[in-house]
Amino acid sequence: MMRFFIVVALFLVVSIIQMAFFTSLPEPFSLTPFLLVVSVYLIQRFGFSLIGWWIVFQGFILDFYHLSSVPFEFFSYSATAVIAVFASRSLFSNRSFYGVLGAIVTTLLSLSVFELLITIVLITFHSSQVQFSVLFMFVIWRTILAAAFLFLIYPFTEKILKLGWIVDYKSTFSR
Amino acid sequence: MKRQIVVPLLIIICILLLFSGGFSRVAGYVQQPLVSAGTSIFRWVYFAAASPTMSIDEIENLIEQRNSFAIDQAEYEELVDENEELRALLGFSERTAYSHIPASIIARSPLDDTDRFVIDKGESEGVKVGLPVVIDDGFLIGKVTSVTNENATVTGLTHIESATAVSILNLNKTIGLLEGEGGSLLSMSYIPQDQELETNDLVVTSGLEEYVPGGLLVGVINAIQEDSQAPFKEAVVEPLADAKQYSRVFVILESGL
Repeated sequence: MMRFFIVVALFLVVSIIQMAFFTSLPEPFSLTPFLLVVSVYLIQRFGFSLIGWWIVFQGFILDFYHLSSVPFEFFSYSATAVIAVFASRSLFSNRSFYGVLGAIVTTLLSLSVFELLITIVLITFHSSQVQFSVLFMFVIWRTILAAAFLFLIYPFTEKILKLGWIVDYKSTFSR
Repeated sequence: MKRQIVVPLLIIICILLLFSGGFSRVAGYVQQPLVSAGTSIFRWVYFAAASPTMSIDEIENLIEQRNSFAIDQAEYEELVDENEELRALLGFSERTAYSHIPASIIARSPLDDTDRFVIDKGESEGVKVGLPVVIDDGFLIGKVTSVTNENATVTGLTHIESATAVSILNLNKTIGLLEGEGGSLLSMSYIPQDQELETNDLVVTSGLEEYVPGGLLVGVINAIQEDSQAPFKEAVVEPLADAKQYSRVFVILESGL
């Protein structure tokens, strides 16, 4: 019960920072996938699989407020959450910066592929206006910024980890 | 068994709480300062990139002067029209102020080309789909495209799905359709070939659209694209206001006309 509320409360904090602060920054920094990086980092580094729900809820919020130009984000983000958990737990090592980076890049590219697939399906069956060049640039920037952001937070979080407090929460989040 | 019932129940309660009015209002108090902080950084970087040789104050003064001239010219044109009507109708005309409510931006789209944002006013305050959204100078920046009880999503003029009925402040008051192209400029289409346009002509709302009053400043003509074979010509319009530079806006509830 307690872990559920902690996950929801932390999601709200991270989501509000993403939607209110990062999106207000100048280009290209406004494209920083803060929530995705934090989610994958927590899943990958500490094995907090429950955090995968953050990604699902983020897709739901984007659809709820019609904030994304790509439709049905809920489905893209849900599929991405599955990939994120799989990549973090089965594909990449959680013992190095490059392992976490690999999981994040895989997650971001998966999200882009799912978004692209939904867009193509929509264009096939309905007339829809999508600028593929913009979407492509967005994918590149999102990946670069995710790597840069991870590069900034990784040493910082590792220092916190060494202090030991986050380990206490490991049993709370995992499973 | 108990766990199987409790967890879904908690998820449903959380979702209901998340999108209930009370939560949205509380979240808005947290989100607004974050949007303001991000917007301040945006303005600082934007002005520094716009002209490295000028100070931010100098650029802001120039923008204020430009906006002031645009407002003066629009008011002048409106006064000329009004004067003609007054002469024709022998004194019957009254300009009614627009009824509006202030709103704060609490979230923006993660995609830069999308130009959509969420405001902290919704149906409970009289906001409905189609209402125009302006900044403090009265420049139109977008329209409400979806609304909940406590929030509304605004789609900016530059959004690819945005279309606004406008007129140009030229001799004929040429009307046309202003559409977003996903970038920073707008495209005005369906302008008959015989209409005379010039760059720097002001573009205002035509008042032909439901809920959107006429005379709201939108932008200036940047370039004119003419093709003698086509029945219409197009104009590239530069918006006078960029929604990313503001964290507070106004929603015009009624035109009062």
